[in-house]
Amino acid sequence: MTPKQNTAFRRGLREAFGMPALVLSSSMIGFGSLARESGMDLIMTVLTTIGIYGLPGQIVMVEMVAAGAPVFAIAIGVGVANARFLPMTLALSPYINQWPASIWRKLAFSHLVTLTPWAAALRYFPEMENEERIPYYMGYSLLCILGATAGTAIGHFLAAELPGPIAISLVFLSPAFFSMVFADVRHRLGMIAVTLGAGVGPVLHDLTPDWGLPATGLIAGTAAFLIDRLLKKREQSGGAA
Amino acid sequence: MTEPFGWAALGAAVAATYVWRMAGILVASRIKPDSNLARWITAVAYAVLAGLIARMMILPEGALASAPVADKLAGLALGFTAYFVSGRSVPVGTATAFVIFTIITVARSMVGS
Repeated sequence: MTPKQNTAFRRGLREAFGMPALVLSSSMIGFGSLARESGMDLIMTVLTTIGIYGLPGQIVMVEMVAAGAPVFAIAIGVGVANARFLPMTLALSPYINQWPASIWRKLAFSHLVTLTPWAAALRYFPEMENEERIPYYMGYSLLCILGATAGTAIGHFLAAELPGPIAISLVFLSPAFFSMVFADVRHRLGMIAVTLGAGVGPVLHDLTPDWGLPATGLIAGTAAFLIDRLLKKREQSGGAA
Repeated sequence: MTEPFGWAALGAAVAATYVWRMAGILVASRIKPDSNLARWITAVAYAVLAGLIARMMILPEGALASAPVADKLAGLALGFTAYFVSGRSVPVGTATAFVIFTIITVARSMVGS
């Protein structure tokens, strides 16, 4: 690593160490205790966090395992819950393409794509230099996965001792944090997409629980893209229209 | 959880998650930065995530199913207020939402409703 990359890596570690890792490990405490109550042992619970590294899919897996669903159905359920990783990874493609690394390293890197570091990347990548971006992301995400693993183990240990209201509050922490993170999106395309997605998401979920989320992405995302493009065209024509 | 079934389930879940990330990397090199396609994908990703968070907040489902929607919205509303009052600080907004929600939840459990 060049000195600049080294600095960026440590900046990633430092910025994750605080609110982001705290929120992630707290929600994983909730996950760890849920997994214990579903009868999963410590090793398997921790491996679920490390191997999936995305809370909604982890919860789907534990609930389906507890219900004794067939392995094939579990794969489908978790796969649908985690399909968001495709557009999320693609949204990082401009930066991943500029990273001079082998396809294997990029494939290994992709496991670090999850909501907390991804949101930080979209926020701070544009103002960073090219060679700083991926090291920064790695530092950020590695600290997050460490915090997530620790939180999972703590939750598994504490499961019986954790009072119900506190357990629920820890679960609430994560969506509360991301509501603020998304309110803090400052560029126009993102702001429109977040607003439309938040408005349409619950409605579509009511209509079709299985496909509500992908439909939200396609409908609200496409609408946001078109609105943003329309506004851009107006600006370019001198705002006269 | 014992043994072959649990491990098979874990393996299947991990694979079903990783294929999306892998597909993202494999397709990524074909996308030009600043193209319309790149902007559309970014919009879709933001919309999916905002939809997911809104669903957790507004609907009684998932891990937060037992929390009354009014409690979640009260925490969220005061969190947003604190966020803007503090000059758009994410930590302040998050901490406020969490504290308010915790107080309401603990109070409810004491009253026993």
